[in-house]
Amino acid sequence: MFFLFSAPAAFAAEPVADVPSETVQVEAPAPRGPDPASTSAAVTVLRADASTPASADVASLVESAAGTSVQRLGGLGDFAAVSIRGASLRHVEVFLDGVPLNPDGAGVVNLAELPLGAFERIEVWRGNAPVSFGAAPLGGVVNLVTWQTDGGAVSAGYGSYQTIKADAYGALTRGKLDGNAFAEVLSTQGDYRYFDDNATVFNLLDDHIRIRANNDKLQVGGFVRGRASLGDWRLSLTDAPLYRDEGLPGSVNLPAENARLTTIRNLAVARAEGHGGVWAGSATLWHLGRREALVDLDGELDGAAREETDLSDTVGLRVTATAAPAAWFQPSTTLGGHREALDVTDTRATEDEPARARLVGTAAVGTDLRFWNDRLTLSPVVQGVAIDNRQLQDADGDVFISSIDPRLGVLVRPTRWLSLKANGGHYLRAPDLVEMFGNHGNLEGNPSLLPERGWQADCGIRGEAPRTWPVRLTVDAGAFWLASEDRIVWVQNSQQSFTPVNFGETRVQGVEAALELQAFNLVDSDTSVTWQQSRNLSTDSAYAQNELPRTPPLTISEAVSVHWEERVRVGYSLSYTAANFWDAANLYRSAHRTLHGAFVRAQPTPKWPSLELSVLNLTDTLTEVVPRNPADPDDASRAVSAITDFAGYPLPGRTLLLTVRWQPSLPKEDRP
Amino acid sequence: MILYALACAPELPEDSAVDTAGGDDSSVATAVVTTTSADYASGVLATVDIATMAITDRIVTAPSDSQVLREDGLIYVLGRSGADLVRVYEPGSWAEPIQEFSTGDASNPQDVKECGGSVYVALYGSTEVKKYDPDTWLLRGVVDLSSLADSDGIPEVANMIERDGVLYVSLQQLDQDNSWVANGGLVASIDCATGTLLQSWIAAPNPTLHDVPGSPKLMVRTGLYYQNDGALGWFDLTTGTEEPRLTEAAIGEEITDLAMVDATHGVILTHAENHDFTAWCWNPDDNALIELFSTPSSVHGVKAVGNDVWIVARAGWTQFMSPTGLIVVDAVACVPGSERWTTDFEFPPNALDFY
Repeated sequence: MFFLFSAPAAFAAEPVADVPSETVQVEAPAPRGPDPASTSAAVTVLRADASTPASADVASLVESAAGTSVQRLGGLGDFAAVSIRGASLRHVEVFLDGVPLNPDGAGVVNLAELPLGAFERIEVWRGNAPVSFGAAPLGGVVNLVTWQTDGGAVSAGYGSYQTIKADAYGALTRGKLDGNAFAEVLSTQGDYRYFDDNATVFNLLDDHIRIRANNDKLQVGGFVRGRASLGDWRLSLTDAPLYRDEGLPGSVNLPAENARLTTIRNLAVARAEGHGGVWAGSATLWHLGRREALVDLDGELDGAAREETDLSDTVGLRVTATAAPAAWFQPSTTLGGHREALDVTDTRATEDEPARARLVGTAAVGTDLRFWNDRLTLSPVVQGVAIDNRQLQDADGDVFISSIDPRLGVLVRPTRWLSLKANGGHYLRAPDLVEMFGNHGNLEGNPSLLPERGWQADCGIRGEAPRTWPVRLTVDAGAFWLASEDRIVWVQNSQQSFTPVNFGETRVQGVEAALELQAFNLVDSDTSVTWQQSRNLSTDSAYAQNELPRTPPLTISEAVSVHWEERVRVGYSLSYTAANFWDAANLYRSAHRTLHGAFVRAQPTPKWPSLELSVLNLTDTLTEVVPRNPADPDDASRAVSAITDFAGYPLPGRTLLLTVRWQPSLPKEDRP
Repeated sequence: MILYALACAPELPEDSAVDTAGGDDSSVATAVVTTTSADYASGVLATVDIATMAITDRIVTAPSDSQVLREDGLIYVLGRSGADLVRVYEPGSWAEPIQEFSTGDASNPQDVKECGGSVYVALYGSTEVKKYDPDTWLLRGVVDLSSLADSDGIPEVANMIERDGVLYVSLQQLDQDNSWVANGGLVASIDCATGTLLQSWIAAPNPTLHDVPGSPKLMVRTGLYYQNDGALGWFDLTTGTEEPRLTEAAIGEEITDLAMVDATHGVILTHAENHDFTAWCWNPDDNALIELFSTPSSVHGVKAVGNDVWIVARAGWTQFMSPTGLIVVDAVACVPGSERWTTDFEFPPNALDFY
């Protein structure tokens, strides 16, 4: 059934100028990701390589890319989600090996559930994502690509808050068959210290340091994959299970001492990939099942006692085909469809929730048109989404939602070291089932939500130092503009529960820049800066021209490390997030935060295990001094505030992790 | 979740922790109002000049689900569940409270009374009524009501009325562990001088007490949410007995709030199945009802001043664009259709009192 095609890579086009083509053949060694210089879209390729500390996770790596903002509910292992260029969290589609974990914005992906060690690279596509990702979302795409390298590696670490983190990777090839597997165990008590002002901003006498309770986690996850090569075809079966059991600590003012959530998720993927002389394609069939069991017998989270099980199922098929009938003409298409279902059972509820489901079909058709020896590339795309909501029972919105949207990318490469880019397009996202019907502790859905629509445009420039230099230097800079109608935003109410609401018209615009430096085989440095201005264009005086909630105006990320032949590596990281508002009225603002990290790693020889000590929040920053009344710029009074992304969910202080890693058979640069 | 919201958001039916004592001060000139955004994420204080109805809005931030009460010459802002704090202001001096203190995580303060030289705070999420020293604002002690708790271990203290050195406390006894079903209902009395529980009486389910100026009795409002099973009636402070006067069954709608300006004039609010709200003049002596107005807006939080009753209006349950603001009616003249709206608030009002 899943007998066709695809290849995310482009096709063999004779490079007639000094501009290198990104062209690869499908049977060539596994591509190491897209070349940011040869695509009109702004993309950052992130790798958990030797310069990455063992304490890093998917969220922190994604946060290091320009244009991103990660929001966390706590520390290592706690919920984390990413926003790109100020778009809402659900407007970032997360793919695992090309399979959407939240197809068409269906749910926010908790990045903490994805073990960083499983991924060879993470691609962060901002804005105009390639056709192979289907109908692209307004915000962008995060594509997680698992390891496919032979060999093996194991690591184990122990750190603050009784955190244990261990993983193992192995791969084997026998003739036309190969397989690999990865597994990670993460366990933590999560009982970190935090600052609590008792919610009394005027009263400093009752401020104190407390210990986060009921924040323990046990997470086991990974993947196993088998592949067979049959001539021009390759078949693969992948299974990625996850088990996660955690205490839900609640907000600091409504702490939950006993509430627990157990999540079991499984992603099963069958894929066939093939290629011919002028075509390549793939078909991917997947099933994503998720079971969340919430037990809150004391009603600690929202006052209502719950013993609830949420079952969500998504079955999808995605077919991608690319052709290259001419060197200048490379059309491609991706067709997809899936059924998503949500069935909530609460044994304590007086009324049964009806099972809900909907059908979603997507299509994207586009081409790369290359002119003047690839100096100019135009990438027009038309994408469509159709949603059948007839099985949503009591939804207030339209039964059928459909949209056909255009987008266009332009790439100009006057020389091989310089790329000029521009993109624009229109996008639609319907509210997902959780947004409409979620009733999960401190999340409450809103059946009245309208679909979110918007325009996105950006332009940028990318320059690279010549490869002959002893210094590898890459500079990426761009400006973006994003305008949404009926933007869906999760707001926190007085009980610090979350409810999604439609804003009217909104706009986000900003600039982003990244600088990557590798010098003399000694120093690695990655820097990114994003400045953005968000505005609520509501005519209501309470909200007009306000900043959008949780859209920090400025984020800075810096990671630098120095090494001596990888025998010793010392690294430092900086993360700055400017103060941003929690509420649409802009009355409550989070503290800005500057977090430092560091690590030191020693490995006598490549055959020996390495030993690393990494530290997050090196300076143990728990608080910042903030304006006491941000609604009044003339009020000079100040208050002490906890470091937090969400009100009532403080971030941890200094966190240490000691890790031993051994990879007996992999070259060091391929370390998973 | 909805039921939980009912327990901490006074705009919803039958949950007013407001002391609706009315008509007790004709010298007041200003209404102080807590306003809350439609999403319950943001709140501010506003004031309204009673003579001109001029609004001074966005004075200072307030907890987004808050109650405001005048007590013994001070203004108390109670941040309910999620904030769990009390701010004490000198009327008119809003830049900074003279005191702010937490009532404890998840304590959900609902009402404040000064009595016997102490300030008592009723906590919906606790087994205690806390007692503070109004000079130092230190905790003087607690009144332990755990013996009156229902099966969830909490008696759900809704509001308090002070009479002659005794606090009369309504205990709603809703089972928070079991979909907030009613386990009964009690009225208890507390000796203000000693801070001790005196006695308790069984009441109809889900009781709330209302003061009646000029009457030795109180009014008690009972009944479950969304059901026409409750009643308004006299509560005799000496015998602890209820004398039902007006039942929800008789009126065919749920009675959601009440304010009495004297013993024979009051305004009640009712909630119909179609989610429209109606305000009525009511005389408990002869049970006469006169319909004042009906609105799709969600009206609640009534407060009496002189002969007037002020009513808080937020967006309706089915008509989200329905008007919000304050509605003023004359409870004595009681002319249908004579209600006066004041709507120019940045956020819809949530609670009010006068000074």
